[in-house]
Amino acid sequence: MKQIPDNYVSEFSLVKKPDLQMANNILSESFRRKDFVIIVGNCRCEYSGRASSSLDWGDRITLIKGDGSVQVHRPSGYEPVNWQPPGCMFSIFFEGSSLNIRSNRPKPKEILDIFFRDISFIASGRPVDDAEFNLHVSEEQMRDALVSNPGILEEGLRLIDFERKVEPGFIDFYGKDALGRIVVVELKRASAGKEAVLQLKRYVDEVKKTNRVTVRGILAAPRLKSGAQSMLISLGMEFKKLTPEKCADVLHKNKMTKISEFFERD
Amino acid sequence: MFKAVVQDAKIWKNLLTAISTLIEEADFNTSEDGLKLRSMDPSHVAMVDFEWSKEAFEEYVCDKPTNIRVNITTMLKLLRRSKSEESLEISYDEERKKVDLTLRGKILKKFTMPTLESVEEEVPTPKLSFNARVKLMSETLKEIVEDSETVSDNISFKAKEDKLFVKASSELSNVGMELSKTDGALLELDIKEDSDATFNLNYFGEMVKAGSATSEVATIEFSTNMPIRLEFEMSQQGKLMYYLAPRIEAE
Repeated sequence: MKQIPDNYVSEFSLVKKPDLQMANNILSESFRRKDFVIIVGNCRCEYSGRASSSLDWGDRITLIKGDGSVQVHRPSGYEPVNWQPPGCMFSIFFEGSSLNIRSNRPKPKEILDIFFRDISFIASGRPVDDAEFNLHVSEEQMRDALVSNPGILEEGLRLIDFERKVEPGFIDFYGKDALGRIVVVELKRASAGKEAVLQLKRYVDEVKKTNRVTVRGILAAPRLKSGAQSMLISLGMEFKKLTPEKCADVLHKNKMTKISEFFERD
Repeated sequence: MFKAVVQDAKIWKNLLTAISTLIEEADFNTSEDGLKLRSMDPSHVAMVDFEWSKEAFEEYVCDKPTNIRVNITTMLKLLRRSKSEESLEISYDEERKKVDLTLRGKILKKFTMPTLESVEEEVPTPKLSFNARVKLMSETLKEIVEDSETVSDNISFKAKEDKLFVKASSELSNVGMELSKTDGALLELDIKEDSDATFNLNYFGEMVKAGSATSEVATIEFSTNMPIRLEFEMSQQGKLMYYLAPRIEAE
């Protein structure tokens, strides 16, 4: 790979206050080159597809990426107000006196029209970013996410206890499902293999000894190693997908405090 | 030895239902003076604090303090078999480590259930002083909760001047309510300082619905971004209190 110097800045061309005709020319060329484009200006949006929405005139920032994704941001909040995922086709044309950027998602059919009447600037370029994103979520943090929000694994799941001590070790999550059946969950951060299946089986068997009820064993992990699936099924247990990303998202959004944080400290 | 008789089994059933909204297993601490249960829910977001003095029982015998840990759901399952006008006797056999529940009506029914190993863990009281105290009918509180549930998973309380403002909002819709003593919605309102706090409605709603069955009057106490205390008064010498930690919105 080519060495990138520390002070390297991707080359962006910046055009301030283009009139709409000039904007049309710049953007047509950028879409053809699959550039990363930032448009700051006054626009309105119309979306139709699985639902429909409309947003009246306002100052917004529109990001169009080379992968065919688009996001329209309002001045506040972290989520875009309108967006389309990668894979859209862009076209640009005049609609009355405003410049219309249309992003067309073929499947499912979704169209987002952004109409500009005034543009402050357009920046476009081909930024370079090859870095790997490392998400640091431990198994313990995954457990915390599941404890605070059991519904991420299954609708109606409730917590009874976590890190519950049983003869063979500690059960990561011990709860009840919507039908009142006991649920034992073994969590794995990465691919879960046969040893995880056997571990779960030991916990389930132990719980069954003291509870004369149906006990479900769930192996929760991002994915299974080969052979684990058939083993799970033959032992009457289940696999549910749970990724560190999902857990990180739950922890990030969690605004609940704990009552124990307010206890008197001596 | 421990033995307690409740005149109306239904009261006990309602209390246990109220406790079971938060916890599955819990220690009943019995002493000469009465019975206590204080436990946090498994995710430590909420706490239930329940006390019944011996005077509230028809008959009460306890010769030494004992912790009896039971599965509340199991006990409730047995009590669901109770009919009105049946009395309930709860007794604990230390040697067998079993709890006996005796229902006396037309038929004398005796259920026996296992106890669980007690967890030696004293749950401390949250250190709290409240700036707002609101007393209202349980029905009113239930109505507020149900209205809020139609739009959101959270409920916000704001006490200001002579009013209680309740708000629940989601991305799409919201509901706002105003309650005051003059309009007859509140029985009492004491505000030391303007207060504003938000709580998870799944928890709060369950507490209110279950607690309402035990008492006609409820008191909520809160301060800005601090836990809320929800108390249900009982005519008998007992009390049922819940604590719920607030949701704190990031700056």
